[in-house]
Amino acid sequence: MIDVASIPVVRFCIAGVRLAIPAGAVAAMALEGEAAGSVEDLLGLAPDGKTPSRILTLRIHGADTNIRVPGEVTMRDLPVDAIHPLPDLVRARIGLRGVAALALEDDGVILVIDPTKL
Amino acid sequence: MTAGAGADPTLDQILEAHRGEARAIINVDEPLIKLVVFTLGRDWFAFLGEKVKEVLPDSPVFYLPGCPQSLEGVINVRGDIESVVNLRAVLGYPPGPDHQNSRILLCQTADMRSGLRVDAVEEVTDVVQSRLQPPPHTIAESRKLLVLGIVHFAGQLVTVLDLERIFTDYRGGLDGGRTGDD
Repeated sequence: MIDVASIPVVRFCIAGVRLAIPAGAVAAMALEGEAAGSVEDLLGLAPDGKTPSRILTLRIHGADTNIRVPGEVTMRDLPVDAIHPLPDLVRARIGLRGVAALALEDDGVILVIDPTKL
Repeated sequence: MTAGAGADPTLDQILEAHRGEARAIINVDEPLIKLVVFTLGRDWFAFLGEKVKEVLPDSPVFYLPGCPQSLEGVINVRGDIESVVNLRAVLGYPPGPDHQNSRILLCQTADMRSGLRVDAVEEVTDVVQSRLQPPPHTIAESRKLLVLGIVHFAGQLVTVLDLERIFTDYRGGLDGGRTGDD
């Protein structure tokens, strides 16, 4: 059996767009709490309006920041082989903040977020 | 039938003319350029063949939010992710009727790589470099910057586009403002 290298990520979905944050940057998740803002605001996406939402505590450069994330939040392993840098023109033209990489799945693409770039 | 009054060519002249044509055809010293000829609507265009790595059939494109409409998304090319830009939108053409017969040209320049969607690929051909003519004066100023030259091919006027310039402009946010009516 071959071990496939992978990284744990926290996954969620906004308006059909799949996103993932490396789990190492997520310190905690809670059902309720104060949040500095929504993940849509941070990324520059239109609000999803989905409920219930979760509160993720992101640890960025040693400081904790709470953000509100809509819908279901799961933790999974993402195979390293599936993660790709942004194509040149996507990197230049994408209007979303913090998108550091793309991951391919059989039925779609996941935007991998680097919280330090939000 | 009577002989003409000196206006008709002689058999020797005819044969010599043919020999001249043959010599022109077999002149292998003249450099050739490879062109990938494609269409957008009724207009014919080409990229230099050295810049086109692959001609891909229409493939499932994964939408990416936050990108301009001209950037359709990304495709999976044997495990690699490539962006897909719609050349109609970049050159200011209206959206095409459908993608059924469209092709994606996987293009590579010195520092950029992307797929470009075109309506159809007509031919991959070699032409003598001297047949590449400067762009006509009638071409729109905005388009002129993107044009390497024109060439007559298969009865059509083919505009050879500067892929480096298209990519550089697109990366810098210049697209869609050019009209397709020249």
